[in-house]
Amino acid sequence: MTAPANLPSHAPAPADGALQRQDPRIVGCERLAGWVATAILAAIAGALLGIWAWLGEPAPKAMALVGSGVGALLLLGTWHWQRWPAVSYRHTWYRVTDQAIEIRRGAVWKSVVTIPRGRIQHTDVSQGPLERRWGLGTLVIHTAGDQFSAITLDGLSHGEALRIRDRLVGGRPDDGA
Amino acid sequence: MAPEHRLHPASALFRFGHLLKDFAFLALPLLVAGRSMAMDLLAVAVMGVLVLPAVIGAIITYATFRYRYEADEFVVRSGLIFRNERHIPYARIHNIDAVQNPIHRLFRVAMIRIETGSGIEAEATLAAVPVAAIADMRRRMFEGRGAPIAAEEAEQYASPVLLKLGVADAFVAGFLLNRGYLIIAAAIGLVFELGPDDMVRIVGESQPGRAATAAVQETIAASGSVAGTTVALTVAGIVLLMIAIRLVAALVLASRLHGFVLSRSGADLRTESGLFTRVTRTVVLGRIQRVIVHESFLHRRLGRASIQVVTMGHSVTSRSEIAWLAPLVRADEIDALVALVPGLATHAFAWNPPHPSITGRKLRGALIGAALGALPVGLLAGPSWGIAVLLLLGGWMSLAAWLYARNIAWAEGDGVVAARAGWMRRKTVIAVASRVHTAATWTSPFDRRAGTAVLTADTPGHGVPLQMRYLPIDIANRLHATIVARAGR
Repeated sequence: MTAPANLPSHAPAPADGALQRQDPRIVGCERLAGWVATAILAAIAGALLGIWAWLGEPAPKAMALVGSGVGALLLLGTWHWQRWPAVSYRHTWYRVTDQAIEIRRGAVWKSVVTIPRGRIQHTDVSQGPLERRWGLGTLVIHTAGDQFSAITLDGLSHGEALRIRDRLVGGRPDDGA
Repeated sequence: MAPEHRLHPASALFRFGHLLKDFAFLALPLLVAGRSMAMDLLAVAVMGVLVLPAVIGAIITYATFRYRYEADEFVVRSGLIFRNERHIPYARIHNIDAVQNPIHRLFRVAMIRIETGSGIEAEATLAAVPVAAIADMRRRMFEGRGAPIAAEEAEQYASPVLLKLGVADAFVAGFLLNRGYLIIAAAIGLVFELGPDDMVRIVGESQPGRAATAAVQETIAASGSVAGTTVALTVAGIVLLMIAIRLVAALVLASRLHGFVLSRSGADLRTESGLFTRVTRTVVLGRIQRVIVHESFLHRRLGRASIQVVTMGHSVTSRSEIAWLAPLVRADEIDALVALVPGLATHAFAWNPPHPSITGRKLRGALIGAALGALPVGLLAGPSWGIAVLLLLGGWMSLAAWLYARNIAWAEGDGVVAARAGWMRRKTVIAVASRVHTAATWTSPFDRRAGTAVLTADTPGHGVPLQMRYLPIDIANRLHATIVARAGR
């Protein structure tokens, strides 16, 4: 649990029905996560290339070709993780009303997912190591549905995630599915 | 505390048989490969180590297993060292299935599966319950829900059989609904079990196998190359084999659907089917999440349909486990059967066409796909081959696109949503709007340019989702809001 002092003072009421953005700190968090993943991939690729060069005795031309290909892919990955989190942030919105929670995502393939409050089975708030550093949390909403049995909303401040959770599961109708 | 009941003693036998089946995969390679004395001894030792505890385990399970009916819940107790007591409220029970294979029938018992909404596995499995006790079990569980049936309503169902399938119908249903995967999977399993080398050895050393190999070698030697007739014969052989596989699979499925009877008992539907293994399913009408009407190309030519119901607890792991409301009905009987499901009774909704852009978009996609497919052929085998592939592939894909566009539709009615798609295997999914758990609208860049969207109305239970494609965006938004407003009410 986060101490109330960690809550941003300008936090809006969670159920006022207005569209909300994620916490902007998610951009830095995702960027770092992406770079770490790219770095691990680069290390693995470098190690494999090294082993190949050492044991396989490849022709220098083949080595250069494969090496530059891998390098280009890694550069592309780095560029993607530099740009994408901000784009994704600009296109992600959520809204909590008395009736439902609505999550909008996607720059190219856009989705709007609405979960009626009466249909929420339970919710989780999780925090990975990077998210903890930024004070962020991920809200996971579980329904009894088939295709959408777990819907995640990441990039919330941890306090906001907890507040939405409390708002969503408190006093709702239940018809036993 | 209510009096406790025990399972039939035969349950120990069934549990033991079940365990043996699990270990059979260990024994089989040993039997096939065990040629030396040492291997045989090892096989016996392994079986002894595995089988003896299985026997003891089966007896202990039988000896400790108890069930009882409390006022509003069913209680199952089992275990010697780790004791387990499970309470299942009657109100949460979605289906009760009874399975009777020939050995069950010999002992006049059945395996009972009790399913709730909790998902993958049955909430309770009773290995062997005397047939005489099953009716009593159903009555106690369903009366325990606290929704007694009104006298006049009960009278209304005095003649409760709603649908009966004859032998011919069962075979037609088996033919229409199977895809032969079962047999192919079994064949692949056999190859893996024996190993491809053994298979080649067995086939090659047999008399017909040797003759066939010699004939093939002679043909190739005589003509100097693989002639056109050989290719034609091979293709014909493969087609014949596929037809044979489909027929065998149809027989297998037909044996499962044999003697299918759909009846109504109060607020529940009951289906019964099977030639060898008899399966009795009880589905609580109010727990049906959506109805799927299967109308494949062949179904439509024959004027028939197959109707599936999706419930929350039901774990459909294979096609043979689908809960059929009706494996085969005349097309004009569909409405009456779908109307059995509460909320769908007034499903006098009209089907609406998709956005008009669909035909053009699907055709463009087909032509681009055909061009991409023909390009490498043209580059590798010469332009005339490329043009031939372009014409054939383009023609076929365009026809498929046009048929797809013709068959897609959506509908909304009095608290009901429905979607229809496909032409080769057309499926119509119908659900009560208040059963929907999540509404999702998707748009791709192509959708946004044309002003369309994909709307998914997610209900519990595995199976074909209710998805409306090529929906005009304003209608998608309106339906999305309507569904959310109705959900859970």
